[in-house]
Amino acid sequence: MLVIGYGNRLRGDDGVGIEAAERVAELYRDEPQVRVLVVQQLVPELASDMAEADFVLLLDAEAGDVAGMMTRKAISAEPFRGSFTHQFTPAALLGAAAALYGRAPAAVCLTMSAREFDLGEELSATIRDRLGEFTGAAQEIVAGWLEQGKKVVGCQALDGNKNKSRLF
Amino acid sequence: MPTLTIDPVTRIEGHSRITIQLGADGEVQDAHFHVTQLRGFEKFCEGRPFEEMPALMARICGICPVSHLITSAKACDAIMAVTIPETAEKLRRVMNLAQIVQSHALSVFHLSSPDFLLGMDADPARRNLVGLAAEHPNIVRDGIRLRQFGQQIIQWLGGKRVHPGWIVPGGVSEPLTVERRDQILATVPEAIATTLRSLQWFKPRIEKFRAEIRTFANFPTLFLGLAKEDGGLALYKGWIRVIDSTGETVADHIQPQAYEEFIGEAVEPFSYLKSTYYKPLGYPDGIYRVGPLARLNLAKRCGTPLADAELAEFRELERHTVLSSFFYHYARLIEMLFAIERIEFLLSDASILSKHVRAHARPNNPEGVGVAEAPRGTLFHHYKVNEEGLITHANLIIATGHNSLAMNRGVLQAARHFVRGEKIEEGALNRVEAVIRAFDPCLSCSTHADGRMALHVELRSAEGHLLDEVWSR
Repeated sequence: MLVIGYGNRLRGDDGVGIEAAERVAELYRDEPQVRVLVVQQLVPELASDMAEADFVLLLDAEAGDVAGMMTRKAISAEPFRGSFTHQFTPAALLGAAAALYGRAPAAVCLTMSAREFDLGEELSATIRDRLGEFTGAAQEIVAGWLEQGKKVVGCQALDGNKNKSRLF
Repeated sequence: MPTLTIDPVTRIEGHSRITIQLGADGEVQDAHFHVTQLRGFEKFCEGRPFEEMPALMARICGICPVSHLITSAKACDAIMAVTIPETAEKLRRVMNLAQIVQSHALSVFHLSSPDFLLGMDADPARRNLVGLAAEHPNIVRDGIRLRQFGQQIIQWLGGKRVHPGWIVPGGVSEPLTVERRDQILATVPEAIATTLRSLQWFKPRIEKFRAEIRTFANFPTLFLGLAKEDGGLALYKGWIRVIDSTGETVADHIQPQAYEEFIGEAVEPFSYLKSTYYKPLGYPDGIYRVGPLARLNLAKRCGTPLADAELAEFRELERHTVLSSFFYHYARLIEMLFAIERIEFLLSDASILSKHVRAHARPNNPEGVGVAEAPRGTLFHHYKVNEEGLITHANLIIATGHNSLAMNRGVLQAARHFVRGEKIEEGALNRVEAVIRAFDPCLSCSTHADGRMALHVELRSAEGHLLDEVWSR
């Protein structure tokens, strides 16, 4: 499986996905089935990495009115629209994986809502306090996939509605 | 006087717009490329210890951080007055070459290949990387592989694909291991094959772009870049050479430290991007170009067998120097081939594994200038420090600034050819943008300076009459 933590560590809470991914990498450093990537944004090259995985977990920050809320959303491949090709959405990246490599793995995006995106390397107090829980949720998904395969954590929508998010 | 505006310019690095002014006869009278973003790196690094500069300056850009890292470290080497260990220099070269490959791959494949392969007049909704994936998936995959090749080497050497911290004042922070060297070498054959394959689809298509070749910044200018004694392609070290449009040398053996004597920087009211010019000819007559096209015009040879064979073919495009900026793309592909071959050559030398990779010293000079060839062209970093080694002054000259005059003149040339009437047709719009794209400007890099732009604010009536104007200096 592939874990991708992304965001800008220099913009406060935007780095929470990266922080969590690094913790996951440390937890599973001896597990060959888990590959962790830390990136600033979702660039097209990641389609190749995604296509090689059976399952992808994306960890990201999400701007929201209330900080510290976790959301887990199943992602389905969709075609990319527009001309800007530096930064893809998770769904468009899956679409690129399908178009270029013939396969789009099951994928889940785990996000934490945040409000502090000013310049700075520090996470806000709220996000820092929730980082352990965020990492734990990521770890739970990784462990579930390792133990039982994609039946449990695959591209199945939570709450029975495809692509509908829910709060933990 | 009607003005046509293209805002934003797409498929480039950063934010900008183009304005095209029409005369009373409806013909294009003038055109400008406006860079509308502002950074501030030269100012806010003042007061920082000079040792921090490479890591700070690398943050200017997410595409070519390695170029800033290297050039900044070279300026710091000069402040320390050290000669870095030979192996450290070779390792820096490897990372610089990897950077050239990944950045050129981004420009050629991700940003410009939709124009080459789908056509300048193709539907803009599908004239992008994803549209290309539907029609030419093999080529998109090749572009991705070449990006990965460069980025993977940067990550293996520096720990991260973007903003690695391995290059430091005095050398590099860690030596290369046997395992890493072998990992990199194992990726070389596929990268060479992929680049050769890319040249094979690019070259036959050139014929289809005769109008673009004729009008994409195709005019005589000077060319400037690093040069070395054997005439080979210089990307890391050398002196500055300037040639004219016939290939004759105008100035040679200019030491980078003397850059202020021959490069001037002008500020235009319509852009945050400073325009540089060759001082002996003044502004704007001292227009020159840098980057892949300039480098191939300057070099007598690349210095690796496959790239030299391609360079010989490239030289047949024109009798002297290659003047059309459309050929920046072609030059990028040849430079990628050279870079991959050169990486293999450097890593095949046993000395690359030496553990002596860093020189240590306190500041011994009050100032230092670093220069290297970034993917987009010659990059200067100039720092001054006080006795404690704290930065008191920084000046950066970026490739996109060197090319600013040529880009503006190129936009005008293309607009005069392709724009008709008061409405910009889609094909014309794309071609005017594609002139800028050929230079592959990096606007994040080029607007590193503090706010010295003379801002011109105009108040116009609905009919377009000028009611008031304010100049903020």
